[in-house]
Amino acid sequence: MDQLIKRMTQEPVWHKWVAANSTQAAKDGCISTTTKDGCISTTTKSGCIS
Amino acid sequence: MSTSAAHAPSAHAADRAPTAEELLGPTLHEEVVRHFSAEPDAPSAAVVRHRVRECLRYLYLVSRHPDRLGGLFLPVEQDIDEIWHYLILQTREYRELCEQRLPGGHFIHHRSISYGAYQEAPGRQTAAEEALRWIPLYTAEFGPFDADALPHWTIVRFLHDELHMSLTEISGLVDEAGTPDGPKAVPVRDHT
Repeated sequence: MDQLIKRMTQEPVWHKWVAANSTQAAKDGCISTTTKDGCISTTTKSGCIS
Repeated sequence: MSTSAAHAPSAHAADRAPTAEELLGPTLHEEVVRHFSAEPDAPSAAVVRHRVRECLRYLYLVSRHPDRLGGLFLPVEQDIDEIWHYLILQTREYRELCEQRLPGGHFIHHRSISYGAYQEAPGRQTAAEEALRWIPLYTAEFGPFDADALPHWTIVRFLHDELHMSLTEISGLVDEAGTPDGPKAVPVRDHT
């Protein structure tokens, strides 16, 4: 494991690792592009909205 | 991510970790699969089921090992995070999942942070160790990574695609302490 950690922290490998995570992190906090789906309230299970 | 101290009886005692369907219940499980299968450009229902499975495995591990995994950067891909978001929005069911069905019995919080900001503070070595820390804990709980899990775990995919490690080699990585829980004291960080 120690050897693998050393390998991962080498400059070119580390940049690829950060990029691999940044691709997904960049989407954090984005709004959904899908259509609105039906929500239900926390107090009752009836009254859905489509 | 932060965690509470309250613990429910551990599902781990049953020898095997529960499946995603067992954790969510059949109704919510199918609802989640249906929701993500209906999205534009959705993969097959089989792939969606694997995503749901890996999302629940991620939550299971965080619940079971809050001391080692709490606050670490999300180790799974964005598609899995979207499923987590969906579950969080079903607030009643999500609380029940966290507090009654997952082994730690504590609410699992969510927070967004970029990896660039996350890895700045601890430095590369610690951030790399944190990313690798998931692997032995996963294999101890669920067995070796398979081809269906590979695309969804960022570190596994990275080791496979960039460092050309086989799934057998990846799954063979062992905790430095030699046990899934390990005696090393690892500070919990503030972010997921």
